[in-house]
Amino acid sequence: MIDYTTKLRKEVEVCIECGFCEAVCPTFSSSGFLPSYGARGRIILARDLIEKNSSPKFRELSSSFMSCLNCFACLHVCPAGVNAGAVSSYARQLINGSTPTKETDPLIRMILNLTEKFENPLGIQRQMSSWVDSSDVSFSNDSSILLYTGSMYQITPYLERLQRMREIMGESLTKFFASLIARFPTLSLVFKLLRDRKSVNSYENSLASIVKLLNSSGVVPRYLGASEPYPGTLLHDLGYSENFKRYAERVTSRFKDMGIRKIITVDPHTYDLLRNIYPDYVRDFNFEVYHYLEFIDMKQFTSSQESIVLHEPCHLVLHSSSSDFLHDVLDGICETKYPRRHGSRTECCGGPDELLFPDLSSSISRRRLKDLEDVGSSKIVTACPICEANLNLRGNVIDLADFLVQHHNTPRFSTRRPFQRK
Amino acid sequence: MIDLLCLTEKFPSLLNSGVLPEDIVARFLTIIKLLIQQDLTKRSSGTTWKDYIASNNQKDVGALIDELKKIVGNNLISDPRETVLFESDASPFRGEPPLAAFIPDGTDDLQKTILFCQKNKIPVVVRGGGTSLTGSSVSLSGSLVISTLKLNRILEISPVDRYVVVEPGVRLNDLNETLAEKGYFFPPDPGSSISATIGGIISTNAGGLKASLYGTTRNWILGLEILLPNGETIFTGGKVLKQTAGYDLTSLFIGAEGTLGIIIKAILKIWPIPPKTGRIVAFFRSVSEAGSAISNLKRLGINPLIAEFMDRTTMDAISTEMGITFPDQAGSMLMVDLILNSQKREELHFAGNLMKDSGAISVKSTTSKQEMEQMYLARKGAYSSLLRLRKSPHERVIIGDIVVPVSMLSGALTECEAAAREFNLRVALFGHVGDGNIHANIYADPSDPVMWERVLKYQHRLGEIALRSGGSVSAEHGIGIEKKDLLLEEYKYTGSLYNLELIKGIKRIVDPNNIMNRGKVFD
Ligand code: SF4
Ligand code: SF4
Repeated sequence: MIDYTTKLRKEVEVCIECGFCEAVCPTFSSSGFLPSYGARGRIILARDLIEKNSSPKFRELSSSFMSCLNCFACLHVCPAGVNAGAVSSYARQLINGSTPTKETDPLIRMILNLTEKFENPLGIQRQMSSWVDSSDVSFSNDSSILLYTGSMYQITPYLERLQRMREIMGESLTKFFASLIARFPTLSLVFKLLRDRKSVNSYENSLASIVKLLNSSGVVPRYLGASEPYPGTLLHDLGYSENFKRYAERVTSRFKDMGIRKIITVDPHTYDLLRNIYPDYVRDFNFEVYHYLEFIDMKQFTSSQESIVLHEPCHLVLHSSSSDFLHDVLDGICETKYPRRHGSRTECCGGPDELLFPDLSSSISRRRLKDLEDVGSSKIVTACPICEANLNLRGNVIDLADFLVQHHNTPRFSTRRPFQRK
Repeated sequence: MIDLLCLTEKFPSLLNSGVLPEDIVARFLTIIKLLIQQDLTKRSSGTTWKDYIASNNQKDVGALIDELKKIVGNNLISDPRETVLFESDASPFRGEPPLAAFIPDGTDDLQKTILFCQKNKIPVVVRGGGTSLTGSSVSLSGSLVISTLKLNRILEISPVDRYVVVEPGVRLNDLNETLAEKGYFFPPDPGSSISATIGGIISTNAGGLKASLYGTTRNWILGLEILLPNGETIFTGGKVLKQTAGYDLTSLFIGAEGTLGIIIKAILKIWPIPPKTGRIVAFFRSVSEAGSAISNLKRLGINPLIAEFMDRTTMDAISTEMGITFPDQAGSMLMVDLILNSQKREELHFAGNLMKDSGAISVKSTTSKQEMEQMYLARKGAYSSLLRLRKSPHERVIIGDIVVPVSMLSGALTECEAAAREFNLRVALFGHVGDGNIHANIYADPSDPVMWERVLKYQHRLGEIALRSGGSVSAEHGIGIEKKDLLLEEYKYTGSLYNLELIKGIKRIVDPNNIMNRGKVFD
């Protein structure tokens, strides 16, 4: 098992408490500058956590670490190379680490149980592959390249709905239902009712756009359909390392059994998880992990006068050493503008806090949207379903794949299956 | 318990009374200061805010917090898990547990709050980005920390009149990003500009790279709105570039490190961004040659926009960490930026040749943005590279900060280098040498008393070098907790100990109960 205390100590001991990280930490400003919700505060509190590891009181520190977005904006400005995002992540694993207890937030318990039972955090795994039915995309079961959706695009509209329900029901009723589902996972059937047709269609369409663009670039991957497992992102992000490790091993052995060598991911979170986190937890995780944009043939688009604002997802730009593919693909298609905070200073959409800190999350998204809108273009493009869900408050945000499809040089390049009379 | 603060306060009158020999008093004072300093560097100094309040026969803590809450509502933070985080800043000093913290979102409650603190003799520590390198922003025992971070609006920009009106919590980089959209900038640019706030840089009279041409913050403040500890709000200066209306009260608050009042608004002078600049990088065999090169430049009428220096130790750190290579024989490097007034880059050629004449072994110049950025990478990564080469987790890189007249740089740099060897310390030198500012970066473990003693001696020596050269013990980091004794040395050296009396007199008038950042700058 990973020694989180050592990892944490190594990270925090080099911090010189200069506070540069606070200036870019979205939760710091959005919390009203509460130091425990800022990057520097998290480092100082983590030192406490190491010292008082044996005390039951340390759980009180958890909201400081749980509210961290893991955006890594702090890392990019730290003169000492400290990553307060990683610190929060290690601290969560130390605080939670093993099986949830009765005191654990019922929403978290529900997600853990459903993921382990159904390989889907809402227990709606069947809904995850329905997008293929209406899409004009090709797959090949013989391919050694796997298209791994990670369920992000598919699950986002359900989570959006869940969030709205939560606002209506209030926290205590939500938690009551969550604990009920945590105990009786089959009750998760109810989540199917959360389907908002329009929203589901939109995200499914983006997924279809991605595969259609891969196909037109000569890539015909394999896809697991209804048996594709969720990668366990939330298990890791919520700090349940033991559950996550077990789960990640399960997912990996599935890939291995099928003789997969290359994995194409479609969203920044799954891309980051498989590239950077899985290898730490799963022995011999020796797959080649790619982002779909790395396969896109750039010659298939026409250039236009259109001007867009690009919101660069933090898990793509701040978590990986190279994300040039995100910018390269737009080169020559349109005029790409950027908000004040972009590149290595890009700002998180607030999405990762939506589950446990909804108010904080919405304050971060509203501010980011304002910064994006202030640039003055009517269209905001992003490449992450979570960013889209959090930023698309006024209908001016579009997924990159859909934008690329709009600019395809083949007339009527459609992602939808032609209607067939029965 | 002996009240150490009170004893040191009595010092000047004891000195003047002639009862005790001057050197005995001075030594006594140094010991007392060391005791106080040690007290402040330790996290739990024994004197908690509860002790403090109890010793002052004040109301119990809970009642004070309740009353404060009535004044400021939810903007008061009293949870110790939150307030403990105000005990740190970028210095090696650790503050003491504050009573509470107040993060106002407007100035309405500030006056009532300050009057409450005045009435109850609660110390007040005003804090911006918390980036002080000398301990000015760490909390004091039983204090109310007032964070200015929510007071972060840019209220007015007037390019034609060359001013901007801002609240104190605006971060420097944010201000400059906004001004850049209009083609203007506010020149002070300390290394902490990403996080430092306007209130903080005024309170420490910050400098930075461009101070070489534009001077420090002092030159860029036109006026201030200040809330005094007695609840009065005063306006100093104005929106004009010239003003000779009586005493210059604005200056009084620049570099005061929050000991006199709370800056609630500032009128800053702004300037058009220079249209075209060029960059020269030159390598020299020794630090002294680099020092001479800068004074030669200035002697011949060239005023660099920036002039950055680094020694071999710094270059080696950058090589190790960033993979940038430097000439083998180079003992120092200069990076000089010039504002170009002609298309022909004549100034660059002239300055480049001057570097060669001053002994440079290699000179490169460019006006290409991309190349300039490439050259800047090394300077930008200097401190970060030094930090990453710390040998143990407890080691810090203490940034010494002195200033000498530019004509004295060559000798001063050589002396700083030699003193590091004498005290057996690992020191890397860099600095904004265009205005004579030298930073000696000392690797030291504050928890090792033997080493710390050597560090203090080295810092003292740096101060001596500065004073002997006609400079100052602090260029741009302020005094805070760290340099109180050095400030005293400076006053002594320049025969102006009466300055301390004067400062204390001003402090007594403005802040009779000594509630504002007590014990910082002077005792
Ligand atoms: S994590 Fe880095 S940027 Fe943040 S306070 Fe520590 S050293 Fe400074
Ligand atoms: S990862 Fe993001 S939210 Fe977390 S501490 Fe760093 S900047 Fe703040």
